[in-house]
Amino acid sequence: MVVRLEETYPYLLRDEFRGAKFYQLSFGNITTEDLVSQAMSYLTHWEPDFIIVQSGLADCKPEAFTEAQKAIINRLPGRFLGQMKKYVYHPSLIKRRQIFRVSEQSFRKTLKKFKIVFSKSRIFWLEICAAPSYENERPGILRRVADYNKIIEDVYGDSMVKLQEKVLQVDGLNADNVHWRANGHRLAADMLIDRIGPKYDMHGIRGRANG
Amino acid sequence: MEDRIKNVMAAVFGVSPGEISDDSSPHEIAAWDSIKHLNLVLALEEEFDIRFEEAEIPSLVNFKIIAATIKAYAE
Repeated sequence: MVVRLEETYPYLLRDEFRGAKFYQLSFGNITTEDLVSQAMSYLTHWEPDFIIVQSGLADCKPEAFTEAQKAIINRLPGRFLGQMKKYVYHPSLIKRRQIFRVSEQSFRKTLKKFKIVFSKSRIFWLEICAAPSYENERPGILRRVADYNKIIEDVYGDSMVKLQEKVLQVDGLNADNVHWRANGHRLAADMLIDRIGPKYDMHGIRGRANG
Repeated sequence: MEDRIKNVMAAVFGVSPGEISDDSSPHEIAAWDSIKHLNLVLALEEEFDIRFEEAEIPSLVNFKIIAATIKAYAE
């Protein structure tokens, strides 16, 4: 199911807080350390009022091979590559090998570092979400997601935006088990608006075209 | 801790510690090139007995980020 740009939560937030300046940094399938490194080098001197982070799935996702091994596999000649590719994401191999891009210790450190760098900003970190059926593709993912969400909660406390249960209740995840449908984005936007709007005196900054 | 970082940076870049501020970055310090950046990483690792992760080394581009990274290791 295609989600239009206007239906994504960053867009919905821009629509809600039209007087605010937004800076959006989006990358697919990168680790939190990579994302945070990019954000820090661009934004350290800006000190925004609010920072919303959605990251962590790439850190905790179980793999059958390391990134370096995958890079080697991708360079295999065509006939071998075709044979190998079906093993790279094979659930039974993932279940047996359980390789992770980022350790829990490293993830925790990255979260702390980000908090220290942006100590003057209010950071909202979105809970990592994955559908239960993702476990069939990536055995071990649900336990890892729970463990990494616990780390986010440890470091960010009530600034973690707990979405997982609610997203599942509204069937807000796509068939790929990780990306959000329009109603998942709407839910995230509403939860963020509830937390940012009234509490932080955004009067004059809020305002949708339809009132 | 911040003074120790400033001392290391000053020694690596050949400036006085007083010249290192929160905004110090390769844009402000002419001597901060790629080789000096690696020297800085090694010197900080030795000073604080830590080992930076490969992915975070390129991001250590100003004093504020360096200080936050080292604090995160210490916590």
